[in-house]
Amino acid sequence: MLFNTLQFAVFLAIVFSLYIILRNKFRAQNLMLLVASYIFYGAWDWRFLSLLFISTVIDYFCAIKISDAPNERTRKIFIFLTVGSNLVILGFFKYFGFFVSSMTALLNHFGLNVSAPVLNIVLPVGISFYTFQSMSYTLDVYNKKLEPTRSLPDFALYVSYFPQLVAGPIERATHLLPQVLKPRIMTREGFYEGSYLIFWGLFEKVFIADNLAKIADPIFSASAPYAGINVLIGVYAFAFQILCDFDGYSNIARGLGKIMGFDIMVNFNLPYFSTNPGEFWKRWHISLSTWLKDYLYIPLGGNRHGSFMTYRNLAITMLLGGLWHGAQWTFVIWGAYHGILLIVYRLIKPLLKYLPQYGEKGGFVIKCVNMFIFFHLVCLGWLMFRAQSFGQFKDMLMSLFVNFKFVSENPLGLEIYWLCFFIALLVLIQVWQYIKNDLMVLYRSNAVIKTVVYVIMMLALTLYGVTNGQEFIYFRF
Amino acid sequence: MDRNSFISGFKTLPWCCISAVVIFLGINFALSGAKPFWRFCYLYSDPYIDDSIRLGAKFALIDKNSKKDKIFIIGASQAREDFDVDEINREIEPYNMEVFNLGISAGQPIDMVMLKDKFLSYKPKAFIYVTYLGDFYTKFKYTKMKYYFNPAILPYFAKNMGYRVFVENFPHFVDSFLSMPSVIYKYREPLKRIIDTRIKYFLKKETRAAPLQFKYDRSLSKLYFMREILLYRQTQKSYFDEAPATGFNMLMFDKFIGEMIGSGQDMTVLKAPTHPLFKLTYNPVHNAPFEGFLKEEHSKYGYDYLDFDAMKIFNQEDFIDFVHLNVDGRAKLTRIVKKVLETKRS
Repeated sequence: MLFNTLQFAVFLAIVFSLYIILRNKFRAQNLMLLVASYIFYGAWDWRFLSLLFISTVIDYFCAIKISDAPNERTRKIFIFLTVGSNLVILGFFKYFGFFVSSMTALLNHFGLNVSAPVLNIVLPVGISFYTFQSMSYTLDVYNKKLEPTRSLPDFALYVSYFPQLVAGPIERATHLLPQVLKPRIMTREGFYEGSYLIFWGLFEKVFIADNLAKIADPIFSASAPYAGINVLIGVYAFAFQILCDFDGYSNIARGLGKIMGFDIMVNFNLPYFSTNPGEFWKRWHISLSTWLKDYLYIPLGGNRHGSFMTYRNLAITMLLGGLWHGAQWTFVIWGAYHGILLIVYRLIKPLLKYLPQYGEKGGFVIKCVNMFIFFHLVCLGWLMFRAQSFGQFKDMLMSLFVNFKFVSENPLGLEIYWLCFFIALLVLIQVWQYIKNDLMVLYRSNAVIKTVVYVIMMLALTLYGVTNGQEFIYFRF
Repeated sequence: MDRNSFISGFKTLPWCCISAVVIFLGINFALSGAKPFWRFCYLYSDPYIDDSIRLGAKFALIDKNSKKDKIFIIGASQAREDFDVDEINREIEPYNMEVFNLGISAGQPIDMVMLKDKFLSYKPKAFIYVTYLGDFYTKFKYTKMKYYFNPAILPYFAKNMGYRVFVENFPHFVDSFLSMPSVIYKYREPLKRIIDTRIKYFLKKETRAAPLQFKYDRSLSKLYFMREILLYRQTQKSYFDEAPATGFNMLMFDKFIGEMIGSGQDMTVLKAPTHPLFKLTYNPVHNAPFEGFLKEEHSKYGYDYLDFDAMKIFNQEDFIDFVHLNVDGRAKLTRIVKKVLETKRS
């Protein structure tokens, strides 16, 4: 069930009505939300509900066992059990085919003729998101940051809460679980803010992302040779498509939560305004980057054991971060690329203070130049991410840097104009958000501006909104 | 107390959102009555795929206050394609009449019932309803329903097709309701094409072709006819077959004719000419009930009825495909309709 479908609108109307009817009984609200969340997830494939349930039950009981454990050994046994079982489920459904085919290819490369067993494993939607969310709970209990809950339905709701179940944000138990365990307050302001976030999220998804997909998809599905100008447009289109697709989903999730009195974390904070890789990862998919930092980078040692170990830890974290996105070498390379960017930035950072200072105005210009350069480094990463194979990535890279052509055999139609048209309002609003340092700047702006922008958005959605329920990109991760 | 809380609640209403919705609806309302907008749409639309917006434009551009007697040619694509309205209008000018071609691709009697109030709001003098087997023996196109939607049709859907039809076609019914207050939403697909085309011309990415009046200007090869007949013989599957809405369409045809004649309209029904080999492309068992139905309706209401298949005026060379006339055929039929109108006036 996708947020941008009529089916979901009907589902939501029923859920909200029941939620309001049960407003004085939060336990009953929780139960209703749990049932609704399972229906929401089961709408994709009811068989995968068992995986969600198994993951929930294991983590629930293991967390209690960890908390009640008489000694460190028992605690360790249960944390290994819970983390291990989650990773086994995730590994089997997401990475089994990838590892088998990669291993087979490697063995064949060395002359050992091995044929891979054929297993058609269907990837359960959102498995990476809820597995990480559920794991964060037991890890926090293990690290004594959180007391385990003794109510299975409440915990199950924390894992499966439908607004953020299939594509995040990956909420921490320390943030979301306490909200599940106490009555929520639904306010008029929460309803308005939530509705605004849903509207803006839908605009990002249905107007921007889905229309940019129509520009990017044909370029990436074409075969070589590529014209540099086409690749450039394709990459720019994809850069904004993936931002609006994912940010749109996160905003809708936050909006739905807000209406019900839940506070769901901000997942994107103007990432294309970053001037360096460290800042980018503080702004892009914040829930995943902080998860990786807290549960992988820091446990590996973080930056506490010297430069070499810091670089190693960064590389491991980013490689696994890349692999989290999907069982494909292009994702691994994308992760490695961002790891390299982070390492290189750490290496050159001490030298940057020796650069001449240009005062306030000059500093602003330098900042804009940095943003421009770093945006293009991010776009290079998106080329790896979006390419259908390593071969395609290599060919496209060559067309950009070695043999750039402004004219292609497949001449451009209006793609460049449409690209500008679809991102124009987003860019204007994001610049405004950045200057005011407020993601809700439009919502809080004066009545005339707000009304005019709303009318423009309505007209744009009415005319160009893609209404056939395009899937969100991050569902496949 | 109550009063104060009411005032405070009133102040905290989302006024920007409400104003935006009002302005948005206002823009839609203004566009729906703006003749330049409709002229623009008609000029840059393609008769091949945009006939929904072209019908909207034709309606918008009809002069409601004209003193001439309005005659509407209605029905499916045959109504749109088989007549040269400009030619008819030139000839019948002395009779103070004006003919409007309001044919729509795949339009069925259900669509005609939905459009009935719209037709009558222009106070026409007479109707020429062009019908053929496909009006009854093809699937109803729910995807196009929003262009002609009138909620008054819903009880008839429920009665004749059962409530399941609303569940099975829920998005189309919702789409139809959403389209009612917004001309932009209703015609979003053709509008997008029109804007795209206009920009291409403006940027000189494409050269503008001469505006088309008819979809079918090219002749199909003889192979096309043979292939279609062979295909039916081999597969026994045809585009023309008993459909879930066949009976419903017959009822709606009866309702439409009955109500039109009841409201004093001069009605002429034409059974559209079809290619002599057309009957080889579908199951012949449908012929008898269809022809029987038309005869029954004719004797029930006593309207003028012309069966061109029975008259055998048209031969193979007059057709572009099985169910549409080419330029020669169009000229023949136009002459006949002209005479019919002259006879009526005299």
